[in-house]
Amino acid sequence: MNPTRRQLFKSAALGSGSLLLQPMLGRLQADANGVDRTQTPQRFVFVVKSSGIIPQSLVPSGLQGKVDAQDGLINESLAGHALPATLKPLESLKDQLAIVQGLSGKMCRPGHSSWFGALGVYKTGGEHHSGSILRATADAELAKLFPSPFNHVGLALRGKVMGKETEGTLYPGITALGAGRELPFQASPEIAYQQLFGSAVAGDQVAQSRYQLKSNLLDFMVDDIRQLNRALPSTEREKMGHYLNAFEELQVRRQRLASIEAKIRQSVPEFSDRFLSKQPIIRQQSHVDLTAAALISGITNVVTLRLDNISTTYGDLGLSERTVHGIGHRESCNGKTPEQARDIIRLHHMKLLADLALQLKAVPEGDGTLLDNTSIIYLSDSGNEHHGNLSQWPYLVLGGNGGRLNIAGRYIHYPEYGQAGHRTIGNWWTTWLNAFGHPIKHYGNMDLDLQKNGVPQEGPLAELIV
Amino acid sequence: MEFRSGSGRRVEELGTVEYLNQSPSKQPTMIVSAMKLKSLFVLLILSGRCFAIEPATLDRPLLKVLQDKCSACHADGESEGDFSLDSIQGQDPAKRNEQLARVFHVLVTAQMPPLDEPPLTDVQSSQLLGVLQGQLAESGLIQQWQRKQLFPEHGNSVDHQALFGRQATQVAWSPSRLWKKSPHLFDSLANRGMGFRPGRYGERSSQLSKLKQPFTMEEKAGIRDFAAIALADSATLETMLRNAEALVDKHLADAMHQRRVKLEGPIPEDQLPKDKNGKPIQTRFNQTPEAFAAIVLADAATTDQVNEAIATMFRLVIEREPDAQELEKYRQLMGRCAKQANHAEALRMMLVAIAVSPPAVYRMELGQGPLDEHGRQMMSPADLAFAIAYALTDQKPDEQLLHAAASGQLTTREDVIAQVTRIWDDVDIEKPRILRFFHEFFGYNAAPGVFKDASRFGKDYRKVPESLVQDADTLVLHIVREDKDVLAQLLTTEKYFVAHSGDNAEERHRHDALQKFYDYYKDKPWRDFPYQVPKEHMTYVRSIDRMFTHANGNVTKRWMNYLEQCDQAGLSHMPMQNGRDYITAYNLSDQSFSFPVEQPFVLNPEQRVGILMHPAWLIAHSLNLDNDPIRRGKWIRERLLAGTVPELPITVDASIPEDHEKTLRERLTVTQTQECWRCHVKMNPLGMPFELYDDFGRHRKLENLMAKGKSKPVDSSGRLAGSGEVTLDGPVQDPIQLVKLLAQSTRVRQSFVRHAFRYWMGRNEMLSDAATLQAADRAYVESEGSFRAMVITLLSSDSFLYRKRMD
Repeated sequence: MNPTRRQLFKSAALGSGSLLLQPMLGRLQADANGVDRTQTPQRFVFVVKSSGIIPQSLVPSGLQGKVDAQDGLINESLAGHALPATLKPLESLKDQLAIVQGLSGKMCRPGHSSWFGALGVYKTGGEHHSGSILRATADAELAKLFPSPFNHVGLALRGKVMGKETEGTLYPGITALGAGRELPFQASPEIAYQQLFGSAVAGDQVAQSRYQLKSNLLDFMVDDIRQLNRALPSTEREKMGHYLNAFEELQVRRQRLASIEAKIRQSVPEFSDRFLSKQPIIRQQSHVDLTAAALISGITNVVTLRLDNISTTYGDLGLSERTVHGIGHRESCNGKTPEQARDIIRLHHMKLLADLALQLKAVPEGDGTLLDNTSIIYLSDSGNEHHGNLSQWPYLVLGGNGGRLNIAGRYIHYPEYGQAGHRTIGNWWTTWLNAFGHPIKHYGNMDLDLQKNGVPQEGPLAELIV
Repeated sequence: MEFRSGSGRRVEELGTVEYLNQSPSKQPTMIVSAMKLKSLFVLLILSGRCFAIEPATLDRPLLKVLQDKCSACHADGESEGDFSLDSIQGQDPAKRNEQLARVFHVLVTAQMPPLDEPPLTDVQSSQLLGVLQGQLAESGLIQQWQRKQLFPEHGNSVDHQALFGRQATQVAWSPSRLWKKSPHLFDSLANRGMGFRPGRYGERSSQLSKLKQPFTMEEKAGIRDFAAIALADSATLETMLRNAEALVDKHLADAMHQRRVKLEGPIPEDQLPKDKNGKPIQTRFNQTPEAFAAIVLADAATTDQVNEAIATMFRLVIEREPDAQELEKYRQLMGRCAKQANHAEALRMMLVAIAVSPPAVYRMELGQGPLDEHGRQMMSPADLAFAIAYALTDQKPDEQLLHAAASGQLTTREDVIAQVTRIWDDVDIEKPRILRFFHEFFGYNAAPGVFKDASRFGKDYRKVPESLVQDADTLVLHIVREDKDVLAQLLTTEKYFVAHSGDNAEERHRHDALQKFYDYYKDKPWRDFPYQVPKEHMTYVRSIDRMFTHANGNVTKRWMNYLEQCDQAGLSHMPMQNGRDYITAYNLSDQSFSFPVEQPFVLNPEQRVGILMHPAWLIAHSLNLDNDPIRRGKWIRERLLAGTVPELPITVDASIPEDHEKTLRERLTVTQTQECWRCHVKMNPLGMPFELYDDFGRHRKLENLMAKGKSKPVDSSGRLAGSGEVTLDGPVQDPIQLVKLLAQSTRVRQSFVRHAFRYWMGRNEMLSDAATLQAADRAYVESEGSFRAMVITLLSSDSFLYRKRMD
């Protein structure tokens, strides 16, 4: 094995048609070429809250009559309508806001979380476990379309839907990179800071020293495997070559990060003690700031943000007596009804979304701003309720979506489950994948009840694609 | 590529293209055709630079071989198996190469010449293959072909008769190889705690909750853990790195904390985690292993200390001692890191490196010592110890195995037999790999993964498939324990386990305990119990059995309602307080089922026998809304008949037409068009008999149609073909008749041996494995169907013991 292994892989594939090398080569190719800057990449932020989004809470009062008397698809401009009170922080961004309702997800697991199903459209998991992973979830599929040094970043306040863990690498069970492969989420802002931006800026001292030392580790492993390879038969050398290559890819990533060091330095907030805070809402803000910086600096194009889980307590919002779980179970909290408590949390979330959007909007890109080429998708992994029955799955989308979807500034409401023209979240994610360059016929599993009743389910929501 | 067969002849009476191995012999017409000879010659030399072989290489004797062996059936208008040498001539080079690759394939897998024709001599065969290999070298087709043969789907492409039908002459070996560790090995390592206290019930230690499975495998049915195709790539490494850092940080946390306090004083309050009331929590850490703590706290290290730290880490993640070379290189790494950071951080990085090093990912099976006359090396005793342990368990080698390896008692076949036998017979050693083989072979454990429209089941479906799989597991393990005629028993047993642990003494105890529980409560006001059952009752019921430790008011009512119902109906009670409805899948009802405490019991041999009629298998091989006769047939064709079915052509839309007035069998008549039937004849007639059950495995006489309220009588007929024995082949009335015929077939038995070989060798069989396969088959037959004897033979075969470099 020698430093020109990259070429070797290329020639191997051309010569022998080595089946096993193909996926690896694709990735190497993308790496070698770097992100295609001739075309502005699309950015995605998936903001996944727990405990459901109550559909009613997203309906502007001016459209309530239409929703009550719904007969077919509602697709109205938001321009003439005041947003519901808890959505007020988004008022100034209304022309880049979409509210999408009425899609069902009954092919997923109902309850506290549908786990990978929410973004993967299938039934999996149980009350406490996230279940098996059938395929890459939609956020990961989109990340594949817009490669970057950190292809897909996961940040989470907490782990599994009822998990108590709040530090380090967590596995909330909502995003998968492929069959059997879960995306790891980072919970600690200070570690995320160092992992993402450590190549350019100094954060926490310990973390910084670790970033440097890891170069030693990578160099050591590369040398070690090369040495081992000399003793191996040629067939096995190729196999070990893949593992060697994995280390080399990490080295390459470091080099690429080094090459955009100046840009990273410009984009990153200064490290401060707030990144060490354990307070949930300060940490959420830190995650939002890290997300914005990661997108602006170009180190990633896709972030999935696990905003909270049902074990979260929003003490700093005056809701110290109950966790999200308690509120979801309709317990009153600090003198507030569960509805009022939900409103307070929603308002807080909307402030975070608005803050993220405004940070992106402040960055010029082409004729517009970075927000024009971004989609911030706010959803819950339990759909429409604390124990979602998934007959509806509400979404908020913020951003210009690269002009590829005609949803910005619209209130869109599909006919309800059982009504003519009803569509599912399978259609929804198929739409996204098609709009952004993955012409899949249908993404996700089918709703067997709809199938049994002969309701057509395949394909994208063509009316939403430009 | 379907001109496999013993004779290569079609059996026209099926109206299909079915091939038999024992066909009525049609003597080959040995007419020498100068023209055919010429055409083959021409095609071999035609395509310019592609053909490096000079015409002279194809000397006269070789040409005569081709002429003699192939042309009678494959030239001059004859095109057995849809293949004609004539057809090659005049095609473009790419197509021609494809056809030549077909010739290569059938020769190398010994499918040609057919068995009722005289075989090629070894010299003829290797000359011909050499020429073809030369011709095809640059096209990449040979490499592509070779690569494909490594995948489990192509296991059956080596001709069955070539493996079993003639005296084995070659010596066996496996390639020198690396074998990626299995997901189970990782789980087992994590479950043993890696230095932390393991979980109470053998689950992962709570300290290791951040560790993620790095060795994921594609979730596909069948035997899949093959050394040649399992690779560690970027995805593996990313998970390995995260795991390594999480593990090392957990181990170092206590020492690192002490060190920080020593250097910086107490941790500021705002950096401590807080509880719900905002009060800071002082985190408690697990004790750092001494070898690590010494270095972290002193911020310095002697050579001995570093060596001990390296050895400690090796024991945790690689489960063996490091050798001198390994000690040396990790010491160097630590030294390099210590130049840039303090010793604590240097140690941390060095430990992470060990946890992601190649031996943490791959099992090394390279062979050691001098080559024998066949170019093979035996595996080293240390590697053999791991290979034996991993063959049957998910653990590292036990003390006895390690001792044997270290003391020169693991160097001969007899040594290996002794160790394998010892482990097999030791009931205290868990051997999950045995049941896993049957999972991978039969695939019934996939039942919970088949999403069902549960409303059609009519009962709560949530835990149904899991319970059925448990029953099937109990049955399989019982038959393996009995170890008599294992395969035939699995296919045709009339006895099943239902809601039973497989341990009759344990079940008797549980049954009696429930009876006592019922007798005690039946005259007491249990219906009015609050959630907290009065203490005096609890004290008594807890004294009956541990199972009543948490028998609160709700649990008591659930039990008593059921026990009372059994008492009134004169039924023996099942040991389940809820979820009993799953037995509907066996056409039983908990309203009328009297639970046999002694099991297995004869269930209903008129309705079902064996594993293939077990609801778990039927559900696992069904669709969301319907049966899947095609996949069931394919399963039998491939797993039991060692046959092959070509992949679905990409141009085919394989959907079954919807027709609310027709049965599934009727709707599947679309597969009987000529172009479909060629392949479907291999599957449909074998899968259709299972229409005797619905897609939940329930026996039925009528099939409900999609049109509501309508049904038609079930037609469970089918046909067995390709069993290798004319006396067995023919039409069948139902699945029971089908499996009874299959159970008598030599080929079915040998196909079972082939699959066991693949599972335990981690690869497809090669022609050179014939001796191993025949010996395993013989061991099975001579021991009256002992699975144990068969596996011990496999695990002490040359294929298992010897390695050969494939440079």
